[in-house]
Amino acid sequence: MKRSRLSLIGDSIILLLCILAILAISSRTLGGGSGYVQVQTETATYRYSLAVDREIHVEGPLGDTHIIIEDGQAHIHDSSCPTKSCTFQRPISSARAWIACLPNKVLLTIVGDNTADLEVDDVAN
Amino acid sequence: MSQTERKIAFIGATTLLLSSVEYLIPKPLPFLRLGLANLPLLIILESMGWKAYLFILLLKAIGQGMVSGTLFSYLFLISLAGTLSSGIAMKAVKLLLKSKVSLVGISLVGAFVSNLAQLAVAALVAYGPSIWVAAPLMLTLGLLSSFALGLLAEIYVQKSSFAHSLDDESINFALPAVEQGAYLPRVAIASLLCIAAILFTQTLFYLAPLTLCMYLLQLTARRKIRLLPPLMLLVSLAILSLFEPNGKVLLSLGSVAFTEGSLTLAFTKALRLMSLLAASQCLTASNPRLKGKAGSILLLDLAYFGQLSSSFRTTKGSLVKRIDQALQSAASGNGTEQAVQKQQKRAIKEPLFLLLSGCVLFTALLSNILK
Repeated sequence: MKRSRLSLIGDSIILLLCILAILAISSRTLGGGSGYVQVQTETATYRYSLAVDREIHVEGPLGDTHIIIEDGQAHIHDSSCPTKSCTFQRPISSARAWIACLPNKVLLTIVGDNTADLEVDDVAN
Repeated sequence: MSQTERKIAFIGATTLLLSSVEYLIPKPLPFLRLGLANLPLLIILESMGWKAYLFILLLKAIGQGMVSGTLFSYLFLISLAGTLSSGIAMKAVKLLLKSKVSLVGISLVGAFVSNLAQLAVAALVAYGPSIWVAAPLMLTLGLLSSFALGLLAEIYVQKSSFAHSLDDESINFALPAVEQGAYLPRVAIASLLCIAAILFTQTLFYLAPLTLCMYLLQLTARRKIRLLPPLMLLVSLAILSLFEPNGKVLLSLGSVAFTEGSLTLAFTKALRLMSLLAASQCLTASNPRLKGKAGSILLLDLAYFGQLSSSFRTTKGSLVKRIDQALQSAASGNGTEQAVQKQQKRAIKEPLFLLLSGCVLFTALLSNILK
């Protein structure tokens, strides 16, 4: 079969290209999850994707806590606690980062394997 | 009708036969497809000109949509994208590499491009971008099955006499008796109104009874209801919702969790898609017509398919033998009478159909007024 010997090269190259493309797509879709923020209040737990911009209101013992997710980061925009120190915290986006509002009992943590873009700053935080 | 047009319709019909044969083959995984319907495309790849080839691609997609009743739904868009893109890619690669590539390599390209296009359109019209998490698995399985299919095609082309006789135009295709059910304009218009109603219905609370109505409507239109596809749609959308958490955590499974918002969104989407599929079935049952030459070739395509599948059902023996037998007898024009007798269907009860579509419209209206 002369024909199949010649085509073996072309077939192998196509097979190789397909496998490479699958590997490239796999590393993008499985590795680079954008992670999500978990919001814990006294009564319930909420989770939101960081990929979608949105505003969230949760209730604590003192009242409303206003959380904003934008550009893949989450921060507390406003809170009904007296000091409002939680609103001055830097927006969080990578694993192990957190923001807490102790008076209103609201805790923001980042969940998921977002360790790829962990920065030195974040760890020191 | 000329011999070339008959040949186009006949090849289109063989893709339909093979896609229904594929249903009969047991598979370890529900979404693992062999892609048997692409076998005729691989076999005629070299001998057909671009125009006839593209027409066969269209016939394959539209014919499958007509037979399965998904022609007027998002599923048709997904399958059309896969068929056209992979068909064009396969022929282009063959033209570029000529004898430097075998049908195995071409089949690999076809499956890869088809899966990629289907994922892109599925993300756009139904599932959202999170469907891409399924890409590595789908593409890998596609690679395996297309490899097997390519080998099968290569062996078939080298051994079969039928494939060669397709090339040198020595076959005279008999014209089967073309017959078509009467067009039902009221059913068609009611189905179209239902599609609009489904798109405008707002919450899960109203979509649930609406979906039930749509399934009753599909039964009234005398189209079979399959349970597995909607169930798979529901489950896959629920699983995909894990990747886009939104709202109160209902059930936490390690690092992922089912959240209230995203589950509601998933079920809303699933019910809407299920209703649209049922509407597509109803619209197909109204026997819509295509005008002109393309329409008559499509009709011939479906008539050949009717013959092929009836002689496939009546012959005994191995799968390959039954397919071969069906091809021979349909091409030569035997078994026409059987096909015609089988086509007799019970008529649709139009008043009941219109009443049920009224219910659908009413539910949609209610959901928008009582927000």
